[in-house]
Amino acid sequence: MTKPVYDALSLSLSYLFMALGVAIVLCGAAWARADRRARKAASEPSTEAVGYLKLTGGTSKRVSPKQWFPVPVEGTVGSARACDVYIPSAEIPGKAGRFTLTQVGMLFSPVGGGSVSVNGIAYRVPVLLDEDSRVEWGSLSFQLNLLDGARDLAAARITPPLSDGSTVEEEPSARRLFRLRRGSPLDSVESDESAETDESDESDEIDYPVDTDDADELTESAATDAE
Amino acid sequence: MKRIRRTAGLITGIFAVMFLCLGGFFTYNVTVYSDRWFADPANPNIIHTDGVIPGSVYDKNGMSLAKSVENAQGDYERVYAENPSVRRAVSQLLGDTEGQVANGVESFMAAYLLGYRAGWTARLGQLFSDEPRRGDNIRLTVDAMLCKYAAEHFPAGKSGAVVVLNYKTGEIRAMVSLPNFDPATDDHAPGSYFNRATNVLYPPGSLFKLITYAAALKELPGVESRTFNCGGRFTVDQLSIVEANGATHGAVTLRQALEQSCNITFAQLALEMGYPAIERQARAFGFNDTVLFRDLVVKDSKYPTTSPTRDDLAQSAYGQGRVETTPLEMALVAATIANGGTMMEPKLLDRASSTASGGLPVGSSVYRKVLDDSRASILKEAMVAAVQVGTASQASIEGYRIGGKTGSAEVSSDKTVPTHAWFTGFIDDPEHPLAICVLIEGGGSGAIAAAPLAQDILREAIRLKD
Amino acid sequence: MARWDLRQRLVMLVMLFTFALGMLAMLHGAPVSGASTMYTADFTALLITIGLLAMIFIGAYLFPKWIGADPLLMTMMNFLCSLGVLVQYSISRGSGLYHALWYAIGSILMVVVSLAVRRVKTLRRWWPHLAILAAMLLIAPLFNTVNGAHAHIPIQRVTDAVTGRSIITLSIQPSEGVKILLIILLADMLSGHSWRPDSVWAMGFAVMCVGLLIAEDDLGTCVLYAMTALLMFFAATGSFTLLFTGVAGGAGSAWLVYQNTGKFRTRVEQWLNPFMRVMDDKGGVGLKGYQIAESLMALAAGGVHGLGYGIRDTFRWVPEYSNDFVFSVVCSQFGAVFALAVLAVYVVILFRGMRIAQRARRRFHALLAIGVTALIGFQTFVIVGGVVNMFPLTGVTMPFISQGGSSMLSCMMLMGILNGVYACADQDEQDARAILGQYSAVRSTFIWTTREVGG
Repeated sequence: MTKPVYDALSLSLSYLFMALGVAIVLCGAAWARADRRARKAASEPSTEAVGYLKLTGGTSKRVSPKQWFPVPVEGTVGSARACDVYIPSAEIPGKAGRFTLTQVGMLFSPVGGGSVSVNGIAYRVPVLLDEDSRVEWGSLSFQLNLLDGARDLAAARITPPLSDGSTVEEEPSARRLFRLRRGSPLDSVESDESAETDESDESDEIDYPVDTDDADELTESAATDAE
Repeated sequence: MKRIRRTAGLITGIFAVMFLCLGGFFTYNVTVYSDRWFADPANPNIIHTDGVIPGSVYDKNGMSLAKSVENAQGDYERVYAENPSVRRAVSQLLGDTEGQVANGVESFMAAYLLGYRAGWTARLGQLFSDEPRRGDNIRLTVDAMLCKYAAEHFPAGKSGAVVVLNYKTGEIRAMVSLPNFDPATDDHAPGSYFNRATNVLYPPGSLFKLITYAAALKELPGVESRTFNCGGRFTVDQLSIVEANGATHGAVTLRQALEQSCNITFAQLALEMGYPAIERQARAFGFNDTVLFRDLVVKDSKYPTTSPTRDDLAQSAYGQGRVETTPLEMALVAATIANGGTMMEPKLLDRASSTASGGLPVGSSVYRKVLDDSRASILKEAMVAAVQVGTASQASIEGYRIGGKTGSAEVSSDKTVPTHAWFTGFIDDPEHPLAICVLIEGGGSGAIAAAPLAQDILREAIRLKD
Repeated sequence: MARWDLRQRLVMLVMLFTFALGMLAMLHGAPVSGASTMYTADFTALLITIGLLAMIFIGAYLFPKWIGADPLLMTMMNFLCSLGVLVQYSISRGSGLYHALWYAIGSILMVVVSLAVRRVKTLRRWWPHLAILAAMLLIAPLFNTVNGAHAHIPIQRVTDAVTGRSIITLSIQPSEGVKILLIILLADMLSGHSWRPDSVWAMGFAVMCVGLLIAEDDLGTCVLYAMTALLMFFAATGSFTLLFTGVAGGAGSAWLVYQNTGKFRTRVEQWLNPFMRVMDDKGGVGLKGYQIAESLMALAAGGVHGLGYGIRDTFRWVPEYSNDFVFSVVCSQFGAVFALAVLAVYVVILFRGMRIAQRARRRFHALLAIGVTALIGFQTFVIVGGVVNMFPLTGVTMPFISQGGSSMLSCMMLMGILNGVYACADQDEQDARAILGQYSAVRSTFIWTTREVGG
């Protein structure tokens, strides 16, 4: 191939490359946008509610009985804005606890020094909630309603919560049966003596800083919110 | 997790802004500056021409100023105009490709001469023909014979510059800088590689009064009907202002002050207006501004405003102190006034084409509207009066309305050092819309040395037009 | 064409580009220096092109199926890599082959890393080992300060036939490996349970890396690491105070370095006035910032649509044209519009990376993705900014396009991390959905199973 012919070809193609470059960028951007929309439409479970909290007792300036608070698959609840279930009330601590949907039901893990009672019983350890459980902070009481599939799970709950403060016992057999895949993030029941816990399980949890300093920061922001 | 998600979104935003700035910077610079980058003589694309024969340079009448000719060994060398006088006259304008002359046509327009600006079809056509590849030929707007005349009639032994341009279209008819060199024989005097018309700064002297006048018309309403008193000596703080030849002008109007080139009047005007007003007007004309013309590179003119003393302010009114400019800029000032306040972009390139005579002419463009019509016409009349009855009388040409302003710029407080002789002016005639600027370094009085030279050159320009 | 979905369209466009450019490369043959009038076709280029096309296909369709990779990310990355391989080929045949080789190895590594991300839960017991490894990698170049700015350990050097300059064609840059370690370790430390003590370790590790780099005078990479670490801290803590303090600290230390180090100050002056003529050591006259000036002249020569691939080799006058200034080479051969498009492709990768970070379900993964994206983003920003003279030049390479095995491998591994996070996020989402019972088959199994046990 002689130089002039090659040069002519290359020069002509340079226009093509220019057009292709622009086309690739636009197509890629369009795909990214379409993908994003599709995701939103498919509603990621982590942001979709599996249930909701409804105010059933007590009065609060900023929480009205008509307001339903969606509860996600997992997330924190509290009066700090950063919480996934944000309930703007001074009676609720900044980070009050964490909801986690597990194979055995909706688990509620209180955090820090706040006192929360479930169905009238004060807990400081993780407790399994079922349909229509009542969660109370101070004078406010909320009812938890679970949706659809979660309800089935909750109904299939095996072990009632213990009131003597001991941890929730989990049937090892149930666990084995329900385990879809090793290391699933939903496999996050906190228990002191879970048999299979090794170091690797610890960071399965999608965690949130639990440090007291952090809780102080959240409480602070909750206090300013409540003012 | 929510917090991490939000932060991730925030970071995305930060990156988007960063890359947008990068893209914008890139686009802006490549659009505005790439011509200048390419024209740098160190550009390997120019040095290594890849077998492309540089195109020829013609003046507006088709005279060949530079072309590539095959020599006995089969190489191509650059051959300049035949007439040595013409060669020398356009030497700095043409420049060279080795970087000795800054931004001459040969290097600044190398993109045309080496074929980088050729259209797609032209390039393909060339590729398939058997001849060696050639760049485009360019035709300039200058008139080589006018340049020759100007160079020959310049006072012998003196340095300086002459610029003649068409104020309606911005086309440059002549750009000559002395001393010059001979590209064919490489005979050059020291300093002959400088293009004094565009690349060297000088104090404008009384020529700057045009700008002060324009500023006064805007800032001081009714200044036209005021009378100023010139007593021959005016003391500011430490500065004592006198007139040329110790003259006393007495009571003058502003126009008379311009005709007679009265320093004291303009100094008083400056003291009244202050720096900002004059600087605004000077900036409108192109001082203190980064000027980016398409066809040529001009050094930026300066009007410094940082001195707090009233002495400097007063001096700056008549172009002394630290005010500096180029002859091209002064020609543009005269051209703007003659053109009703509109400054056209100076144009060197008439057309570029792959054949000797074809090609589409490049259009003229307005650079800026500097003055409104009324002020421009006032200044125009004042300049015409200066030629008819004022200091610029040596520039008058019978049968034509010539406007002009002379200047004698001091370069040292030592009175024995001769001043630079300046003249800038125009022909007020639609048939010959020419503006001119003459600078003679150390030429003495502008009225005596520069104005007659301008008169000669303008006469020749009128003659050459036909 | 209208019936094709976006993925197919994009893949077709990228393949078309690769094919056309590859054909040109093949027709041009191996680059010969000097004026030549005949080009002989080189079939190695054809093989390379076929390989590139295969990689594009695999990346868009097969990897997502096998390892859960993100097809958009893969396609964009493959586009850049194809461009890189063919641009390197236009520099020299060996360079192109090496780059293709690194691309292949890098792809394997990418798969390995993305699978590893899904398996490895925590690195806590490996911190000390990894940190020491990082320190060793950073210190190694101190013993070999040839071409000190890059902390390169050159392996092979050739003399460029056109310019007579000596060009490194094969080298190792250990600091590239540290990039990955930095991100992984920081992500792990910052996602730990008890935040406060771990963050001290994290900060200490970051400072150590930065300090070593300053000691080596490798300011570009140092800035890169510092900014990435800063962004990771910012993401982990959400504290604006930290961010602003970090930025202010960076600016302050930059000012300090400017006062002291000769090299940085030279760079700043070169940035401001690249075309100024100065006397160089040999008594001749040179350009003050000749690297930048040559790069700018190459940009100007490219114009809008470029000089054309393989037509002129004047880009060889740009120093470091195969690694740092490869963006100038792209500009000069393909034009400014295409170069902007390449920049936009990097931005798309960035956005996608951030999106992956947002979709991650675990803190560790999210921080990993943010770190990777920030690193690639900053690296591209810094090098392109230096090349177009937006700010002083630093010695970092262009991801995917620059020559250099370590650069390519580390970038592919970073992409592997992103793919791993994407796959995990995908899998976790599917798990969650399954739990919710949106897939009726699983739901009924659930109910049946639980009733069995409970009953």
